[in-house]
Amino acid sequence: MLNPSTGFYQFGENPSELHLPENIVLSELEDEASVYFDERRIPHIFAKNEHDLYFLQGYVVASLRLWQMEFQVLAAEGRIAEILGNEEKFIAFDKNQRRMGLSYGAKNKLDLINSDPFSKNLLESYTAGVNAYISSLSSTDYPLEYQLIGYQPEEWSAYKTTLLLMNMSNVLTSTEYDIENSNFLSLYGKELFDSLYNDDNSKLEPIVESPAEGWKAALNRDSLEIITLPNPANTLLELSTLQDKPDVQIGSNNWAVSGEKTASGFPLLANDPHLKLSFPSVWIEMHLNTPDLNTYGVVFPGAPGIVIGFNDYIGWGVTNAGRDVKDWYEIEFKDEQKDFYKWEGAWRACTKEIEEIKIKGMPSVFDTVIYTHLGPVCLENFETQAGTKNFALQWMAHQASEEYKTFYLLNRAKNFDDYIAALRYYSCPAQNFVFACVNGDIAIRQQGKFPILEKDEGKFYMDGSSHEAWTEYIPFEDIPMMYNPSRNFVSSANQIVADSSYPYYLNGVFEYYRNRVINEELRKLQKATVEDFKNLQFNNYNLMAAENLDLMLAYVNPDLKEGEHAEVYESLKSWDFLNEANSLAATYFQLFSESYYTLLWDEFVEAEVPGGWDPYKWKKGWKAPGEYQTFQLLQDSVQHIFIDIQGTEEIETNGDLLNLAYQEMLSKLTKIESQEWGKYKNTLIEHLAMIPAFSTNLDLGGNYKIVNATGKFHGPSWRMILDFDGGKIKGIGVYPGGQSGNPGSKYYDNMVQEWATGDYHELLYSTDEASYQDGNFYQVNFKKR
Amino acid sequence: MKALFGGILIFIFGWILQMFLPWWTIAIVCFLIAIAFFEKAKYAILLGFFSVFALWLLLAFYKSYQNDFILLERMSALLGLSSKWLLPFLSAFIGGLLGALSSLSGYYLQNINEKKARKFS
Repeated sequence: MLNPSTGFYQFGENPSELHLPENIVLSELEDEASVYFDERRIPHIFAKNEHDLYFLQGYVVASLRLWQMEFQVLAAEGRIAEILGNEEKFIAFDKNQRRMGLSYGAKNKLDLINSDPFSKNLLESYTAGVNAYISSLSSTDYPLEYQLIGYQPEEWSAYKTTLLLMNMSNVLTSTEYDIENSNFLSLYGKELFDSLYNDDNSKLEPIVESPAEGWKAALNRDSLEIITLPNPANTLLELSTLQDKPDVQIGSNNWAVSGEKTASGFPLLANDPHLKLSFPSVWIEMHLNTPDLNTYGVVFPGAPGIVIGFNDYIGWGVTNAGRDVKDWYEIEFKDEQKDFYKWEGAWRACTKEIEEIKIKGMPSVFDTVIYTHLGPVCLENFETQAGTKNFALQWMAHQASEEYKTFYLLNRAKNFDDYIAALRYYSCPAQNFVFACVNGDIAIRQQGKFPILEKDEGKFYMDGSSHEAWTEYIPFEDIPMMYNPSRNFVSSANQIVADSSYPYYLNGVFEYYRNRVINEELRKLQKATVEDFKNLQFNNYNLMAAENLDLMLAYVNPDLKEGEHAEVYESLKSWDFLNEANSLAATYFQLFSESYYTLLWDEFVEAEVPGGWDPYKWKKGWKAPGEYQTFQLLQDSVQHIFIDIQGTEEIETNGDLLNLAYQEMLSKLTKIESQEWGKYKNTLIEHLAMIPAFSTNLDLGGNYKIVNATGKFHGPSWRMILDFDGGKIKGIGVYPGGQSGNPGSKYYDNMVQEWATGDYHELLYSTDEASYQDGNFYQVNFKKR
Repeated sequence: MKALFGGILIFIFGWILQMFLPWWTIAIVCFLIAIAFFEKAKYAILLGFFSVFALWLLLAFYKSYQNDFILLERMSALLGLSSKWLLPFLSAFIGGLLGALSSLSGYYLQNINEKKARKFS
């Protein structure tokens, strides 16, 4: 590795040269084509036909991000130990991925794609492009990470592209707490559960306003039976073998306003999806052009088309729906053989799949995954205080679907009807698709496939011996949507989609703060411009603090507010509630509120978060109420048994907790290096394989639950604003990374500064190929052999 | 003088060959040059070491310079080095050792042959 001829030095790209040669001849092409790379290495692909377009998209993305695209997919499939070696955590990760059925879902999707010539061709063209690039490399040319870790890329396949979608579904549908909620229910009962985990949204604004004429859906609620809750005797308690849940800081914002609210008289649209900040970036930016298509935006490396972006007619963006589409069922096996499980009083046969988990430098480990009518038995021989248990997982992502077709059609959509037609193919992970069109239309629609559930169904685990698999789904027509509303704006920020008048039961984990700040700003907006939208994307208003800080401080004893502590108190009292990078009060509030949360919910929260920055970590098998519910309980002075701290003689009150939390905050302040919010938070963009030398730290404002959702590990993974002025879309955007996945390239992280300082770049999507030949672009000519 | 010339040849041939061929060809170059040019073991060790050291140092710096030292910085951090400037020297040192050992092997082969020649003459 250290020799200067073929060692790592060869991966040091010359910043003024392109990573590809000027002329490339490939036998798979049907016609000539050109790709123009701009100064940020954003490719503008000009092909004569669709096959060549998706072929070249695969080729170009692989040339920039080969290691990342494959590593993500291998992780999704549960093959990390095969690459990284014999470590307990890698093998446990792999086993969990297989038992969750990520490859099972990917295969189901692949079967459907293979039966649809349209989707099949699309994925085959893309796959061939990736593979043409891989086969152009010799083993010493494989990206740096392959050399460092010591393995080689495999051939790409349509299956790998479906695995990538499974990976996204896994990230975006992971907020369900069936087992954790059941644990609470068994120990403390339904009444306490309902009062603490209250998801009443009456004070909040759902994404879609209830239609004045009422919802069309005629669901006869009486026909639904009340679900059976888990038996209180089935207390699970310590569930140390549960896999860690991904944290809850993932989210997104999107909004659009109609011409009534803008200076130009045409719509404006914005989107910023918040994901884990990583190198290489989650997204890759590109422009795709054929004589019939012209679209620009971002896409996951490994997937065809554009996922968030625009064309000459429409623009669209997404936020996560947060609906619960993952349910757990207790399974009772007949005997140790586990060939049969209990079903409607009799025994029903299971099927079994043997999974081979390869381990680098070691013999493989084998795992048998049992499948029931509901799905794979993900948690098997699960040790609980109520004995050994088994749970099967039913997950929407397991079902066959063709999400890539949605993006293919959106890329070509010309109006509202086309947008709706495209969304019909979209099942999972459910998203809020915001839309605007050059004709002035705006819309938002929560698109996904949702089972029709009874109240509380899916909140707790259920009985697998009596529960049928989902068969009925909310009809397409009944999914909440807003089209040119009279308020002249649409928005979403992961809040609940509709209020309680919606005829279907909505279960999920929803956001309570960002959406209210956004809607308030949008309501005020008049003669809006792109600048206003930029400001809103960088809005640092901490609504959670604004609603609760005064009340919290009122409980704090005067002696903690005086003398040497006066400065902290004054700073909090005079705070404008903005989490700016240089704010001290933002840090004080964060420490104060997280200490309070940890003390209050000490029954469910780890006292210390090992090595992490996360404000708190739920104990395995438990989920405490979220921040919003926690503060509602404080505001309403609700008394409950958890206010008392376990293991102390006194019976604590909220006042005691807040005083303790305030003292804890004061003592923590003496231990941290900098009290400035941005420096304290120290946002981290981490390398995908967690190689620290390839990661970056930044001093930035914002936080999760704030519109500018730049947290410690998560943040706006793509900021886009579209201006429809004059019926012609002009886009700006930026993401925290760079187009190249090579740590030896300037273009690995060149946009990070742009992103951090609030700059955007223009998204060039001209259909005029000659405009890319002015000498400011690197031209690569692709010829057919 | 002859030995110094040999050292320069290692540098030149090493440079040219490493443009097309794998890094370990430098060992063959050192080995062959040593047979022809190095008459004493200390020449073989010193010149083998310093010619490859110089070559690899120059190449490492040149390639890193072209890259604005972006990768050098990241790799140095990855290896836990306190300064990025250490890494090219580390590379060069490894190359130097390789050069010294290869040319010493070449020298020994030449030496055996010469001894054999003397024996039978």
